[in-house]
Amino acid sequence: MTRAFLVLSAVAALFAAAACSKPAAAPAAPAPAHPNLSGSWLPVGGRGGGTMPPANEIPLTPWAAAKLKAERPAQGENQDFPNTTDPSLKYADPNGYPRISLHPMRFKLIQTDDYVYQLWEYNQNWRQIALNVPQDPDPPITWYGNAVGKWEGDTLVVDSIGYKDSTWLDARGLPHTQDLHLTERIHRMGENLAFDITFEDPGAFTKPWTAHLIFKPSPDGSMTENIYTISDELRFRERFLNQKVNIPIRR
Amino acid sequence: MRRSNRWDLGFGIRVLGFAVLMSTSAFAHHGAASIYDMGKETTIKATVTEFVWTNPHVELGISTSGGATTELLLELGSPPNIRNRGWTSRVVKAGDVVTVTFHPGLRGAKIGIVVKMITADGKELHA
Repeated sequence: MTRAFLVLSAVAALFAAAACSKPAAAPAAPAPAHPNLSGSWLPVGGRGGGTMPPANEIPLTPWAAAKLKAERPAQGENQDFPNTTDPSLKYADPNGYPRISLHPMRFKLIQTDDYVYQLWEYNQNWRQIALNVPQDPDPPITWYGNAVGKWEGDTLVVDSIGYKDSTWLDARGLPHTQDLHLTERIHRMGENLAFDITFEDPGAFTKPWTAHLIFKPSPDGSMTENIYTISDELRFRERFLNQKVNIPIRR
Repeated sequence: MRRSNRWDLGFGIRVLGFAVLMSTSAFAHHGAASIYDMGKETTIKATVTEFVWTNPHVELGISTSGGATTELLLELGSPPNIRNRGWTSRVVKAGDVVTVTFHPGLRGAKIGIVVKMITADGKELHA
Protein backbone atom coordinates (compact mmCIF):
# COMPACT_ATOMS: atom_id res chain seq x y z
CA MET A 1 0.00 0.00 0.00
CA THR A 2 2.80 2.35 1.01
CA ARG A 3 4.78 1.36 -2.11
CA ALA A 4 1.75 1.93 -4.31
CA PHE A 5 1.21 5.32 -2.72
CA LEU A 6 4.85 6.27 -3.37
CA VAL A 7 4.61 5.21 -7.05
CA LEU A 8 1.41 7.18 -7.53
CA SER A 9 2.94 10.22 -5.85
CA ALA A 10 5.98 10.04 -8.10
CA VAL A 11 3.82 9.81 -11.24
CA ALA A 12 1.71 12.74 -10.06
CA ALA A 13 4.85 14.75 -9.35
CA LEU A 14 6.13 14.03 -12.84
CA PHE A 15 2.83 15.20 -14.41
CA ALA A 16 2.85 18.30 -12.21
CA ALA A 17 6.43 19.09 -13.18
CA ALA A 18 5.57 18.64 -16.82
CA ALA A 19 2.55 20.88 -16.45
CA CYS A 20 4.56 23.62 -14.73
CA SER A 21 7.51 23.51 -17.08
CA LYS A 22 7.95 26.25 -19.69
CA PRO A 23 5.55 25.53 -22.55
CA ALA A 24 7.12 24.52 -25.82
CA ALA A 25 7.48 27.41 -28.24
CA ALA A 26 4.58 27.65 -30.72
CA PRO A 27 5.58 26.44 -34.16
CA ALA A 28 6.60 29.28 -36.43
CA ALA A 29 3.88 30.40 -38.82
CA PRO A 30 4.51 28.90 -42.26
CA ALA A 31 5.84 31.30 -44.84
CA PRO A 32 3.05 32.50 -47.14
CA ALA A 33 2.77 30.22 -50.13
CA HIS A 34 2.48 33.16 -52.54
CA PRO A 35 3.28 36.88 -52.58
CA ASN A 36 0.67 39.14 -51.10
CA LEU A 37 -1.01 41.13 -53.88
CA SER A 38 -3.80 42.41 -51.65
CA GLY A 39 -4.33 46.11 -51.15
CA SER A 40 -5.38 49.20 -53.07
CA TRP A 41 -3.60 50.08 -56.29
CA LEU A 42 -3.57 53.14 -58.53
CA PRO A 43 -2.45 53.22 -62.19
CA VAL A 44 0.80 54.98 -62.92
CA GLY A 45 0.23 57.08 -66.02
CA GLY A 46 2.54 58.35 -68.70
CA ARG A 47 5.04 56.72 -71.00
CA GLY A 48 7.38 54.46 -69.12
CA GLY A 49 4.97 54.39 -66.23
CA GLY A 50 2.92 51.56 -67.57
CA THR A 51 0.44 52.49 -70.22
CA MET A 52 -0.76 50.92 -73.43
CA PRO A 53 1.80 51.19 -76.25
CA PRO A 54 1.39 53.75 -79.06
CA ALA A 55 -0.94 52.57 -81.81
CA ASN A 56 1.93 52.26 -84.31
CA GLU A 57 3.57 49.68 -82.04
CA ILE A 58 0.47 47.48 -81.94
CA PRO A 59 0.19 44.91 -84.79
CA LEU A 60 -3.29 45.90 -85.94
CA THR A 61 -5.13 44.02 -88.67
CA PRO A 62 -6.51 46.22 -91.48
CA TRP A 63 -9.96 45.92 -89.88
CA ALA A 64 -8.68 47.10 -86.47
CA ALA A 65 -6.62 49.92 -87.99
CA ALA A 66 -9.62 51.22 -89.92
CA LYS A 67 -11.91 50.95 -86.89
CA LEU A 68 -9.44 52.74 -84.64
CA LYS A 69 -9.05 55.52 -87.20
CA ALA A 70 -12.81 55.97 -87.49
CA GLU A 71 -13.42 56.28 -83.74
CA ARG A 72 -13.80 59.67 -82.10
CA PRO A 73 -12.29 59.44 -78.59
CA ALA A 74 -13.21 61.90 -75.85
CA GLN A 75 -9.64 62.53 -74.80
CA GLY A 76 -6.09 62.41 -76.06
CA GLU A 77 -5.03 63.10 -79.63
CA ASN A 78 -7.83 63.92 -82.08
CA GLN A 79 -10.32 64.16 -79.24
CA ASP A 80 -13.88 65.09 -80.10
CA PHE A 81 -15.81 64.90 -76.86
CA PRO A 82 -19.04 66.47 -78.16
CA ASN A 83 -19.32 63.87 -80.94
CA THR A 84 -17.49 60.98 -79.32
CA THR A 85 -18.12 57.39 -80.34
CA ASP A 86 -16.77 56.10 -77.01
CA PRO A 87 -19.29 53.47 -75.84
CA SER A 88 -18.43 54.19 -72.22
CA LEU A 89 -19.76 57.73 -72.69
CA LYS A 90 -22.28 57.37 -75.51
CA TYR A 91 -24.09 54.54 -73.72
CA ALA A 92 -22.41 54.75 -70.30
CA ASP A 93 -21.36 51.14 -70.93
CA PRO A 94 -18.98 49.47 -68.49
CA ASN A 95 -15.38 50.12 -69.45
CA GLY A 96 -14.53 46.44 -69.92
CA TYR A 97 -11.08 45.02 -69.38
CA PRO A 98 -8.32 46.14 -69.22
CA ARG A 99 -9.56 49.67 -69.90
CA ILE A 100 -11.11 50.04 -66.47
CA SER A 101 -7.72 49.49 -64.85
CA LEU A 102 -6.37 52.48 -66.80
CA HIS A 103 -9.02 54.77 -65.31
CA PRO A 104 -7.31 57.07 -62.79
CA MET A 105 -9.08 55.59 -59.81
CA ARG A 106 -7.87 52.83 -57.57
CA PHE A 107 -8.81 49.20 -57.44
CA LYS A 108 -8.60 46.81 -54.57
CA LEU A 109 -7.30 43.23 -54.81
CA ILE A 110 -8.61 40.66 -52.37
CA GLN A 111 -6.80 37.36 -52.33
CA THR A 112 -8.25 34.10 -51.01
CA ASP A 113 -7.20 30.49 -51.48
CA ASP A 114 -9.75 29.96 -54.26
CA TYR A 115 -10.23 33.36 -55.86
CA VAL A 116 -8.60 36.71 -56.43
CA TYR A 117 -11.15 39.52 -56.59
CA GLN A 118 -10.41 42.80 -58.35
CA LEU A 119 -12.73 45.59 -57.21
CA TRP A 120 -12.62 48.84 -59.18
CA GLU A 121 -13.72 52.02 -57.45
CA TYR A 122 -14.96 53.40 -60.76
CA ASN A 123 -18.59 52.39 -61.22
CA GLN A 124 -18.21 49.67 -58.57
CA ASN A 125 -17.28 47.13 -61.22
CA TRP A 126 -15.43 43.94 -60.31
CA ARG A 127 -14.11 40.66 -61.67
CA GLN A 128 -13.17 37.38 -60.12
CA ILE A 129 -10.20 35.20 -61.00
CA ALA A 130 -10.90 31.57 -60.12
CA LEU A 131 -7.74 29.79 -59.05
CA ASN A 132 -6.57 26.34 -60.11
CA VAL A 133 -9.55 25.50 -62.28
CA PRO A 134 -9.58 24.90 -66.04
CA GLN A 135 -10.77 27.60 -68.43
CA ASP A 136 -14.33 27.17 -69.68
CA PRO A 137 -13.99 26.57 -73.45
CA ASP A 138 -17.36 28.25 -74.07
CA PRO A 139 -17.96 30.83 -71.33
CA PRO A 140 -20.75 33.40 -71.32
CA ILE A 141 -19.84 36.61 -73.14
CA THR A 142 -19.44 39.37 -70.55
CA TRP A 143 -18.03 42.84 -69.99
CA TYR A 144 -15.15 41.55 -67.84
CA GLY A 145 -14.57 38.09 -69.31
CA ASN A 146 -14.07 34.71 -67.71
CA ALA A 147 -10.77 34.62 -65.84
CA VAL A 148 -8.92 31.69 -64.31
CA GLY A 149 -5.53 31.85 -62.68
CA LYS A 150 -2.73 29.84 -61.18
CA TRP A 151 0.49 30.65 -59.43
CA GLU A 152 3.79 30.13 -61.21
CA GLY A 153 6.33 30.89 -58.51
CA ASP A 154 5.81 34.50 -57.47
CA THR A 155 3.65 35.33 -60.48
CA LEU A 156 -0.11 34.97 -60.77
CA VAL A 157 -0.84 33.89 -64.34
CA VAL A 158 -4.38 34.72 -65.46
CA ASP A 159 -6.06 33.40 -68.59
CA SER A 160 -9.26 35.10 -69.74
CA ILE A 161 -11.68 34.90 -72.67
CA GLY A 162 -15.36 35.58 -73.27
CA TYR A 163 -15.21 39.36 -73.71
CA LYS A 164 -18.07 41.35 -75.22
CA ASP A 165 -16.71 42.95 -78.39
CA SER A 166 -18.38 46.34 -78.02
CA THR A 167 -15.87 47.63 -75.46
CA TRP A 168 -12.72 49.58 -76.22
CA LEU A 169 -9.46 48.22 -74.84
CA ASP A 170 -8.41 51.78 -73.95
CA ALA A 171 -9.68 55.34 -74.16
CA ARG A 172 -8.22 55.78 -77.68
CA GLY A 173 -10.70 53.32 -79.09
CA LEU A 174 -8.44 50.28 -79.52
CA PRO A 175 -10.86 47.60 -80.79
CA HIS A 176 -11.08 43.87 -80.31
CA THR A 177 -13.36 41.01 -81.33
CA GLN A 178 -15.19 38.41 -79.27
CA ASP A 179 -12.17 36.13 -79.78
CA LEU A 180 -9.97 38.26 -77.52
CA HIS A 181 -7.72 36.11 -75.34
CA LEU A 182 -5.68 37.73 -72.58
CA THR A 183 -2.80 36.16 -70.68
CA GLU A 184 -1.79 38.24 -67.71
CA ARG A 185 1.30 37.84 -65.56
CA ILE A 186 0.69 39.71 -62.31
CA HIS A 187 3.64 40.16 -59.98
CA ARG A 188 5.15 42.51 -57.43
CA MET A 189 7.78 44.90 -58.72
CA GLY A 190 9.32 46.44 -55.64
CA GLU A 191 6.51 48.23 -53.86
CA ASN A 192 4.48 48.36 -57.08
CA LEU A 193 2.30 45.82 -58.84
CA ALA A 194 2.91 44.89 -62.49
CA PHE A 195 0.40 43.47 -64.96
CA ASP A 196 2.07 42.18 -68.12
CA ILE A 197 -0.90 41.59 -70.41
CA THR A 198 -0.52 39.67 -73.67
CA PHE A 199 -3.29 40.29 -76.20
CA GLU A 200 -4.21 37.63 -78.76
CA ASP A 201 -7.06 38.24 -81.18
CA PRO A 202 -6.63 37.14 -84.82
CA GLY A 203 -9.41 39.47 -85.96
CA ALA A 204 -7.78 42.55 -84.43
CA PHE A 205 -4.06 41.78 -84.16
CA THR A 206 -1.73 40.11 -86.65
CA LYS A 207 0.33 38.62 -83.81
CA PRO A 208 0.30 38.59 -79.99
CA TRP A 209 1.57 41.73 -78.26
CA THR A 210 2.11 42.69 -74.64
CA ALA A 211 1.32 45.80 -72.58
CA HIS A 212 3.11 46.44 -69.30
CA LEU A 213 0.88 48.20 -66.79
CA ILE A 214 2.24 49.43 -63.47
CA PHE A 215 0.18 50.21 -60.38
CA LYS A 216 1.44 51.96 -57.27
CA PRO A 217 0.15 51.38 -53.74
CA SER A 218 -2.71 53.65 -52.73
CA PRO A 219 -3.89 54.29 -49.17
CA ASP A 220 -6.19 51.43 -48.28
CA GLY A 221 -9.52 51.76 -46.54
CA SER A 222 -13.07 52.34 -47.62
CA MET A 223 -13.79 52.50 -51.30
CA THR A 224 -15.76 55.54 -52.45
CA GLU A 225 -19.02 55.03 -54.31
CA ASN A 226 -18.67 56.49 -57.75
CA ILE A 227 -21.45 55.22 -59.99
CA TYR A 228 -21.91 56.99 -63.32
CA THR A 229 -25.08 56.44 -65.35
CA ILE A 230 -26.41 57.30 -68.80
CA SER A 231 -28.59 59.90 -67.11
CA ASP A 232 -25.47 61.56 -65.69
CA GLU A 233 -23.96 61.69 -69.16
CA LEU A 234 -27.09 63.11 -70.79
CA ARG A 235 -27.45 65.71 -68.05
CA PHE A 236 -23.83 66.81 -68.58
CA ARG A 237 -24.31 67.03 -72.34
CA GLU A 238 -27.48 69.04 -72.01
CA ARG A 239 -26.02 71.48 -69.48
CA PHE A 240 -22.48 71.91 -70.76
CA LEU A 241 -22.77 71.20 -74.49
CA ASN A 242 -26.36 72.25 -75.07
CA GLN A 243 -27.00 68.85 -76.64
CA LYS A 244 -30.51 67.43 -76.50
CA VAL A 245 -29.84 63.71 -76.70
CA ASN A 246 -32.35 60.93 -76.43
CA ILE A 247 -31.18 57.80 -74.69
CA PRO A 248 -29.30 56.00 -77.49
CA ILE A 249 -29.54 52.33 -78.36
CA ARG A 250 -26.30 50.50 -78.95
CA ARG A 251 -26.18 49.32 -82.59
CA MET B 1 24.38 79.50 -61.88
CA ARG B 2 24.83 75.84 -62.75
CA ARG B 3 23.15 74.88 -59.52
CA SER B 4 20.26 77.18 -60.27
CA ASN B 5 19.79 75.59 -63.70
CA ARG B 6 19.72 72.13 -62.16
CA TRP B 7 17.12 73.28 -59.67
CA ASP B 8 15.07 74.82 -62.44
CA LEU B 9 15.19 71.59 -64.43
CA GLY B 10 14.20 69.52 -61.41
CA PHE B 11 11.41 71.93 -60.58
CA GLY B 12 10.24 71.89 -64.19
CA ILE B 13 10.13 68.10 -64.22
CA ARG B 14 8.13 68.06 -61.00
CA VAL B 15 5.71 70.67 -62.33
CA LEU B 16 5.32 68.73 -65.59
CA GLY B 17 4.74 65.50 -63.70
CA PHE B 18 2.14 67.18 -61.52
CA ALA B 19 0.46 68.67 -64.56
CA VAL B 20 0.30 65.26 -66.26
CA LEU B 21 -1.09 63.71 -63.09
CA MET B 22 -3.67 66.44 -62.65
CA SER B 23 -4.71 66.30 -66.28
CA THR B 24 -5.12 62.53 -66.05
CA SER B 25 -7.17 62.82 -62.91
CA ALA B 26 -9.34 65.68 -64.05
CA PHE B 27 -10.11 64.43 -67.50
CA ALA B 28 -10.83 60.75 -67.04
CA HIS B 29 -14.29 61.37 -68.52
CA HIS B 30 -13.30 63.67 -71.36
CA GLY B 31 -10.44 65.72 -72.64
CA ALA B 32 -10.83 69.44 -72.02
CA ALA B 33 -9.27 70.81 -75.20
CA SER B 34 -12.30 70.21 -77.41
CA ILE B 35 -14.64 72.38 -75.32
CA TYR B 36 -12.45 74.73 -73.22
CA ASP B 37 -9.72 77.25 -73.99
CA MET B 38 -6.99 75.63 -71.93
CA GLY B 39 -4.56 78.43 -72.80
CA LYS B 40 -6.69 81.02 -71.06
CA GLU B 41 -7.56 81.50 -67.39
CA THR B 42 -10.21 83.80 -66.02
CA THR B 43 -10.59 84.80 -62.37
CA ILE B 44 -13.79 86.36 -61.10
CA LYS B 45 -15.60 87.01 -57.84
CA ALA B 46 -19.11 85.64 -58.08
CA THR B 47 -22.11 84.35 -56.18
CA VAL B 48 -22.72 80.60 -56.11
CA THR B 49 -26.11 79.70 -57.59
CA GLU B 50 -25.76 75.92 -57.35
CA PHE B 51 -23.23 73.31 -56.30
CA VAL B 52 -24.17 69.83 -57.49
CA TRP B 53 -22.18 66.84 -56.27
CA THR B 54 -22.72 64.51 -59.22
CA ASN B 55 -21.08 62.35 -61.84
CA PRO B 56 -19.41 62.60 -64.24
CA HIS B 57 -18.34 66.03 -62.93
CA VAL B 58 -19.32 68.15 -59.96
CA GLU B 59 -21.09 71.29 -61.18
CA LEU B 60 -20.64 74.83 -59.89
CA GLY B 61 -23.09 77.46 -61.10
CA ILE B 62 -22.23 81.11 -60.53
CA SER B 63 -23.67 84.55 -61.10
CA THR B 64 -21.59 87.68 -61.51
CA SER B 65 -24.59 89.93 -60.99
CA GLY B 66 -25.39 88.53 -57.56
CA GLY B 67 -28.60 86.90 -58.73
CA ALA B 68 -29.90 83.41 -58.14
CA THR B 69 -29.84 82.37 -61.79
CA THR B 70 -26.83 80.50 -63.15
CA GLU B 71 -25.02 82.69 -65.66
CA LEU B 72 -21.92 80.58 -65.96
CA LEU B 73 -21.74 76.81 -65.44
CA LEU B 74 -18.39 75.38 -64.36
CA GLU B 75 -17.28 71.77 -64.07
CA LEU B 76 -14.89 70.20 -61.64
CA GLY B 77 -13.42 66.69 -61.44
CA SER B 78 -15.36 63.60 -60.48
CA PRO B 79 -16.58 63.41 -56.87
CA PRO B 80 -13.89 61.00 -55.56
CA ASN B 81 -11.06 62.82 -57.27
CA ILE B 82 -11.91 66.30 -55.97
CA ARG B 83 -12.73 64.89 -52.55
CA ASN B 84 -9.09 63.77 -52.42
CA ARG B 85 -8.19 67.44 -52.88
CA GLY B 86 -10.28 68.69 -49.99
CA TRP B 87 -13.64 69.40 -51.64
CA THR B 88 -16.82 68.15 -50.00
CA SER B 89 -20.46 68.36 -51.04
CA ARG B 90 -21.04 71.13 -48.51
CA VAL B 91 -17.90 73.18 -48.97
CA VAL B 92 -19.99 75.87 -50.69
CA LYS B 93 -23.69 76.51 -51.13
CA ALA B 94 -25.98 78.77 -53.09
CA GLY B 95 -25.55 82.36 -51.96
CA ASP B 96 -21.87 82.07 -51.00
CA VAL B 97 -19.50 84.56 -52.59
CA VAL B 98 -16.37 82.89 -53.99
CA THR B 99 -13.39 83.79 -56.12
CA VAL B 100 -13.03 81.24 -58.86
CA THR B 101 -10.37 80.70 -61.54
CA PHE B 102 -11.31 78.67 -64.61
CA HIS B 103 -10.56 77.93 -68.24
CA PRO B 104 -13.47 79.40 -70.21
CA GLY B 105 -15.54 77.61 -72.83
CA LEU B 106 -14.58 77.85 -76.48
CA ARG B 107 -16.53 80.07 -78.85
CA GLY B 108 -18.05 82.10 -76.03
CA ALA B 109 -19.94 79.20 -74.46
CA LYS B 110 -21.07 80.08 -70.94
CA ILE B 111 -19.18 77.21 -69.41
CA GLY B 112 -15.76 76.63 -67.90
CA ILE B 113 -13.56 74.15 -66.10
CA VAL B 114 -12.41 75.15 -62.63
CA VAL B 115 -8.73 75.54 -61.82
CA LYS B 116 -9.19 76.72 -58.25
CA MET B 117 -11.70 78.38 -55.94
CA ILE B 118 -11.29 80.52 -52.84
CA THR B 119 -14.24 80.35 -50.47
CA ALA B 120 -15.64 83.32 -48.55
CA ASP B 121 -13.62 82.31 -45.49
CA GLY B 122 -10.38 82.14 -47.47
CA LYS B 123 -10.08 78.41 -48.05
CA GLU B 124 -8.29 77.72 -51.34
CA LEU B 125 -9.29 74.55 -53.18
CA HIS B 126 -7.79 73.23 -56.39
CA ALA B 127 -9.89 71.23 -58.82
